[in-house]
Amino acid sequence: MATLTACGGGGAAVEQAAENPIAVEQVPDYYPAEYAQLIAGSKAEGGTLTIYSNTDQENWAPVFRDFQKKYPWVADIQANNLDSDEVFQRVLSEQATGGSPADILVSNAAQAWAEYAQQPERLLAYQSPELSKLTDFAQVLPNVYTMATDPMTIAYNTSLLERAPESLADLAAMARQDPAKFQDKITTRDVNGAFGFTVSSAFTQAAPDSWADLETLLPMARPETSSGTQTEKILAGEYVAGFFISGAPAYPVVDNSGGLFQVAFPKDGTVVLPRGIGITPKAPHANTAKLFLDFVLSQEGQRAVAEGGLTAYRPDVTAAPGLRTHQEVVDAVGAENVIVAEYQLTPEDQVKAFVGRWDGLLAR
Amino acid sequence: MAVLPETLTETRPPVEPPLPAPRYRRLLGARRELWAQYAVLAFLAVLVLAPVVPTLIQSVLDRPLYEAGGIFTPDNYVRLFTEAGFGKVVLNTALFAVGTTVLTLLIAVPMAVLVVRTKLPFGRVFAGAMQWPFFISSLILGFGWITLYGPAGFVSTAVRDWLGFVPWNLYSIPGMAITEAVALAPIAYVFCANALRKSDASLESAAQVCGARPLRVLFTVVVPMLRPPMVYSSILVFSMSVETLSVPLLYGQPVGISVFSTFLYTNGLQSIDPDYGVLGAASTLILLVTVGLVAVQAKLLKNAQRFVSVRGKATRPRRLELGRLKWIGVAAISVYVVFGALLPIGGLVFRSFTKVFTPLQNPFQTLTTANYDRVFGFAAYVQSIWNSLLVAGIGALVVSFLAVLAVLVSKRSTFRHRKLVEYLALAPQAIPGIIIGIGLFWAFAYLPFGLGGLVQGTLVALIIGFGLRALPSGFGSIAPSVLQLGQELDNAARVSGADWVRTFTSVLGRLLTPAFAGAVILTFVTMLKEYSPAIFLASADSNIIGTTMLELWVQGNTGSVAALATVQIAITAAFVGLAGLLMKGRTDA
Repeated sequence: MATLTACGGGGAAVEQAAENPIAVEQVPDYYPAEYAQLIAGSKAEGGTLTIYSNTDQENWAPVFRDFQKKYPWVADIQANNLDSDEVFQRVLSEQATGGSPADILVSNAAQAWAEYAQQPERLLAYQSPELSKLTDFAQVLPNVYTMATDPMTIAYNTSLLERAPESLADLAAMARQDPAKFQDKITTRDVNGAFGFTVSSAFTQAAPDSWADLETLLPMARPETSSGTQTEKILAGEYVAGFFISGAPAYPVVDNSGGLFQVAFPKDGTVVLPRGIGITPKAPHANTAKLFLDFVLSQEGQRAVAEGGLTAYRPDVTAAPGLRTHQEVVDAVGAENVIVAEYQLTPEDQVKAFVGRWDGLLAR
Repeated sequence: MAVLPETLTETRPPVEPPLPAPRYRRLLGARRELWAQYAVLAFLAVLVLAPVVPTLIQSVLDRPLYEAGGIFTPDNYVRLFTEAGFGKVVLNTALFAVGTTVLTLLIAVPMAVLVVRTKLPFGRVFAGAMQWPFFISSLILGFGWITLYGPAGFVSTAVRDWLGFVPWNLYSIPGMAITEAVALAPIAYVFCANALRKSDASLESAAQVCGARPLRVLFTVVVPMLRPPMVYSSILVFSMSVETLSVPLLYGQPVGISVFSTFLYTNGLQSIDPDYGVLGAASTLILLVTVGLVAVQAKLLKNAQRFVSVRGKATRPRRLELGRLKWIGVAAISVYVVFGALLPIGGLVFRSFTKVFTPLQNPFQTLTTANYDRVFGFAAYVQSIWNSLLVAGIGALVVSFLAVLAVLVSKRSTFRHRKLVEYLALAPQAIPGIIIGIGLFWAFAYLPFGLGGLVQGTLVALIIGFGLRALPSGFGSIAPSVLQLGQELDNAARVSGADWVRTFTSVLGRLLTPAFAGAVILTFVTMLKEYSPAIFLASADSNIIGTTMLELWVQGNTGSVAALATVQIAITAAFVGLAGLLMKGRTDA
């Protein structure tokens, strides 16, 4: 394997977050007294934990590192990284055929979570002691907590777009001024997929007037099925800009692109998608799973979540270089323009109506 | 067989008795070949039916298989056909698959003939280079093509500066077909090249004696001999392009060209409420189409006897001298290798050492090893590389062995169900990888005595799934070689008293070694690239390169995808290089 030494002259080096202080085996004083039994129970479970998630290894790494620092006996944490819906399909089929090894489910597929959780007995009932310290959307469904939030940005190529689009309306105005430049050069997420549907429909519900802008933008837009393709093609200049681009995969591109790729929070409505976390009903390591859930909601855990590149939303976690927080989004667009996507099952006719209207506008 | 009636020996003067014919034991009154043949049949049947049966059941169930109380109903088919735009999907798929198949043959057949049967400058280099595209998954190739020939690619940008416009559109069915053809051409090439290496020089000599010029020999003798490998590879390529996901997803999705696989992907795996019934119904349709294809193939190859060219006495084929025409061949192959594979792969390797790769910025600005640090820094990613090696290594040997058995039973025996064996061996091409994944997942779940629990989520499950996918390639690469071994070789062995099993172990086995080795290489590479069944069969600790790449891709870590792909190419190249060294000097068997 040939190795190259990195030459200087690239983008500014990404700042490393400072060390996250962890209180080993100590829990905050607002936890109930019987929490000690939970810790003892976890010690008896053999120190393993299995997570089915649609979250990147890199996002997990600092969380696992600090969790293992806090509870040193948890030697082995396995995290599957599946498609957002697949997390549930898989656990359901395993449960139907004799037990699933999964302890914890993590996914940001709101519709899939809602569908999964509407049947009883599919989640372990657990009230986290951290709940009082968190914002109102910390619990998206009964027993499903928010691990992190993910803002939907407008991403654009700075060498093709001279200034940052402030909002979707602004982007539409730019496109109206110079249609030739933007034709087929805008990307959006395919609404036939769960992710695209959730963020796009949340936006239009909260800001119904924006359909006028969408009527300008969508005929020029091309749908893509993953953030990876979108960021890559914006970077290559194949697209000038894209809207509803998930922040988690876009931030590293911003850091690496040497200023070529930038994101902006749309001021006429920034959709924020919570990433849900819940414990399976027959979790083989239920106590360790509870410890883990409380940990990711705690101040220490939220710091680790932010360090891993996701967005922390706990109010007492402050933004720092290398740490993204929900507060940043609120400061940028104002609390009234933050749209938190809801974990609700949309009736099929509404889905069809929305997808039909959206796809009808696309230049296909 | 050759046991003389005893009455004869008594009446004649005693002569030197001939060597006794070997005696073979019988089991339950049946000869051992029957046992062997039935064993092959049963094994294949179980293997193939395991994923198919749950799929068929799913296609007529009103809810996901794992939910209790399903009701049998034809609704799924009704929904599938009334689904808006499904006709368009079928049409797109047909155009794409036919286009890919035609282009693949157009690339592969002339090249195989030029490289193997004529005197070419740098022939050895080309023989290796022709197979390069095969080492990368089409996801990676497609990505490489986009960075070069896409609307904002390096080459497109250069052409636009020069001409003022870009004369091609990659995001179209022809664009998809060309990319896929470049990715699949090596498969057809390997089949044709193997057949050509074996072909009988006496036929060509005969033509030359009658005064035919080299070109005439090529067109009247060499190319017609290629019909079996051409038919095999085109059926294989057609089926692969029917179910390939990556290129249609990368090119077609943004411009609204939907083919079968992207239809399955968006409706089945990505949709808001995945409709397993429609997934099952659509897969059943694919199944019908490909079963039909296999039947057509069988018809076309009916008089396989015409293609026998390895007789008991083989002569070494001589290469034809084309004169000045050879430079045209060199140029054509160079274009394919350089623009089809070398540049995209080079770009990909380069991409793995940069943070940003775009015509808008000098890539040398952002040289880095961070992509490799990421790949080798996480235990999960390193593990996936080892897993891939294990699965491909063990799987290739097992699958090739099974393929040889299947070929022998189906092509070289009087077994009553030999046709069925062939259908079973080729059937997996009719099953999309995703369906193999789901189907096997179910099959393991229903295994008795909790046996499934031992397999589920382990590398064994992956080997079974991937092996099933690779079996048709193995079968297809071995079958033409077997068809070319003259029947008289078996007959000679049989007359000498060997039974069916012995014939193969002692006579044909030796002749088949190169074909077996070729199949091992082919299936190893196939299985190293494979990922779709793993989506359902792999668990957190049995991830492979393909699933990890997909993960990183969806997360937008394109640099790391390129790094992993580079690692995969390096592994494949090392393996094929080693195999080539080991096989050197044995190709004339």
